Amino acid sequence: MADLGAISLWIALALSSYATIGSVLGKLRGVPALVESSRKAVYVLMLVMLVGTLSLVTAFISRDFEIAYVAGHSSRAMPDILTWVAFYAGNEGSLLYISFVLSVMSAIAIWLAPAKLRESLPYTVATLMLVQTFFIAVMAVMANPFEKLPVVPLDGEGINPLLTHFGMFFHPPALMAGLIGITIPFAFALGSLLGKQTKDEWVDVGRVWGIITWALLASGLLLGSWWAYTILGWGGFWFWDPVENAAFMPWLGLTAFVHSIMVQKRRGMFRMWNIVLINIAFSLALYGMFMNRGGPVPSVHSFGASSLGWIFLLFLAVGTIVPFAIFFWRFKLLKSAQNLDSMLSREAAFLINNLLLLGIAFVTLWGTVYPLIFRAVGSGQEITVARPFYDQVNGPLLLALIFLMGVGPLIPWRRANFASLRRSLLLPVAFAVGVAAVLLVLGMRQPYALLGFCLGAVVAAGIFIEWWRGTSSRHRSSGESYPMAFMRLIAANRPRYGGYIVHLAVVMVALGVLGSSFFNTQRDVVLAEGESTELGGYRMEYIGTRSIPFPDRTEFLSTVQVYREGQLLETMIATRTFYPSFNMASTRAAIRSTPVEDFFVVPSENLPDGSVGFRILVNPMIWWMWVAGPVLVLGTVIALWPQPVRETARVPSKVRVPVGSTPGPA
Amino acid sequence: MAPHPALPDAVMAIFIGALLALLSICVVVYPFLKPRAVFSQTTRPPDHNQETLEEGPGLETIYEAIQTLQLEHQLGKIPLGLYREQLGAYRIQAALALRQQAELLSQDADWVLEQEVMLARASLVPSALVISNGKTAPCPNCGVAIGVEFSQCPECSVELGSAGRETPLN
Repeated sequence: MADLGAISLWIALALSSYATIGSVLGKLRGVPALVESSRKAVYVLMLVMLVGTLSLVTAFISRDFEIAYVAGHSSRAMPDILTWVAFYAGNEGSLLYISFVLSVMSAIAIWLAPAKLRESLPYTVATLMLVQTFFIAVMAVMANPFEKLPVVPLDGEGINPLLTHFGMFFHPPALMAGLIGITIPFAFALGSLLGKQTKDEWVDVGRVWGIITWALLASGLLLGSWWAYTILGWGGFWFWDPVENAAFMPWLGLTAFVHSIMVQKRRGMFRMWNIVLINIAFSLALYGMFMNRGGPVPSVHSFGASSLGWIFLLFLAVGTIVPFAIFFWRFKLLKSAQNLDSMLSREAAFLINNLLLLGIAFVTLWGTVYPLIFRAVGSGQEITVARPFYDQVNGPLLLALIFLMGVGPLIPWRRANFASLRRSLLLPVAFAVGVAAVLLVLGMRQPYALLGFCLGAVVAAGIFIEWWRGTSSRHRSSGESYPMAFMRLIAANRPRYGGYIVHLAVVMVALGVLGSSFFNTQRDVVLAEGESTELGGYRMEYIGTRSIPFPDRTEFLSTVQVYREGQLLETMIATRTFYPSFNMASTRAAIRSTPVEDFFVVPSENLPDGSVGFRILVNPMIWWMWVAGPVLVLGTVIALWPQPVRETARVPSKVRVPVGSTPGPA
Repeated sequence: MAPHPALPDAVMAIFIGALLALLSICVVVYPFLKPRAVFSQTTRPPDHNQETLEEGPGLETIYEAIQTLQLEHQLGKIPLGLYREQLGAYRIQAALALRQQAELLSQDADWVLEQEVMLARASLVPSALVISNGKTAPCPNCGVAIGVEFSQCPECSVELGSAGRETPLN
């Protein structure tokens, strides 16, 4: 398998290089056959990358320890189901995964590209294949996943214990697919600039791929947070770690883009701005990959020590400078078809939303790079930018963003007046005031949290009121039952209401963040068998621990019983596993999760006398955050679901009648 | 420590790799061997009918905008005066788009007409590519002999100017 994998890599490198050069040369020299041939190379490249990928998967399944990567990330004791995780557990395999995903996405994107993009498509192909060439070349030369060991070991080193979690089946693949997926809308934008199709030709395809990529990144981030919450043992889900931030920033850039592209689609505006946004998102994605692979900051999310840092830094520099240079080169062709009619319009709301999102991305970027700058100029001194900085600066910006998410959909396109806006806002604001009153009565006094919940209430109320009005209107006019009227309302306005469902998911995430950040309680305690402790109205009794030896690990299962008001709620098992070959322990929290709050317990240490050190937390409302994931995916699918084809105006039939035929059926 | 695996794996890998390389070469070379398909794509005027239906601020987008406007008006977000004003603006846009579409389609119709005439003329003679006076010249693209007065090759659709065509064969 090593040989076949290596051969397929070299064939893939030849194909991607050929497609890059052939596309541009064919277009510039006017050789259509060369352009066509380059486009076909994209399709066959996908097949070649599939062979390479299957070679590595087969090597893992057959435990082919002749391959250094397989020996380094699997062992005979590893369950077969973890093969998929082991595949991208290291630098080399993850590069192969990224390259394979890019090849599939590129082939689909080029295959489905509309005919109107004919002039710019060769440049789009060249951009996609240039990025592809970079990744394959890095693999072939510097990080070959098929590199052989001089002597074949009898067993492998095994998979990193932190990766043996259900979330790992989806979190890294979704995140990596999202990061590399940004290349697709970026390539269409760059292709349109180079091909001088600078009006709105690329907007539809850019929007669709932007939303797909956005959803992949959002799902990856949420799954990563869930993984951190359940396995890392500190009870939180987001650490503002530089590598976490590196995945968060492109998502912010894409969020701005998928909103802004709607304005170009609808009004022919923001043409320059959309190019700038997708360039920024692409640069931030490259920055994320740089941080993840040999970047300057070690992290639980990165691939550890790697020599690839400088090459990714170089690619980041080129990938940032060149697109902006092309943008300035074509600047004069990017004049928008229309101007902003009013600052009180949906378009203006999108613009402010974009500025806020970029503001958050900039603050996050500054917090990530400032320690590096300080270390470079401060004679090697180390400083850390941690959560208080992000809370203080990003917190108000995020609240402003939620406010805009509530108000924006209430403002119509083109122009609104204050009277109609006031009418639209009346009920949502009244509902939010009611929520605030209830929370005050319940004893909530933190102003930020109160504001956050109220703004979330405005957003949710605005959406539900619109749905209610639309549904009852259909019910009155057509006699449809309420459920049917609601379904048809959604179906008739998929992009709009798919977006609303995504907004609801964001509100759910905000609820989880606010609840667990402002109101969580925590206790670290050592308990002997039969002892108990109390926290947040719960009483937890430690029953005992049993250990189970496995060939590669020993699992310690600690059983606890959770009571509330003297009544047993649940018997839970929290796990701590020790891996001798890694000299590392991983934990698996026991969580009793409800929409109101989570009771979270994790064993942080097993002491020789049989007692166990526990970390116990009560995290209010965090349940909403994990439920938001499927809701977000549902909203994205609805937004992207194709509308039925409408009959549009046709030219009179007599013009289409073939010459020489008589009137009547041809 | 175990010894290296036996040779057949490497042989099999080279065999599959060679097949993969051969397939890649065939796919990449194929467009050069099929000039008709390539040229028909590049010399034929774009399908304006389809393009107009797909293009940006075309009818589809305006239709969606009007639909959204009506929805927002029904939901009480846009007062009647503003609704009428914006609806009027969209109608003007739609009228402009329709006119543009009609212009493009008439150009398309001219091209179709030209093709039909050419094919009809060709179908009148026993050999589709030889005309009544018997003077032919090879098409510079596909090499098929065509009547000298043809401005476009009926076989491969390439545009035929007087320059670049060889002396008549007979």
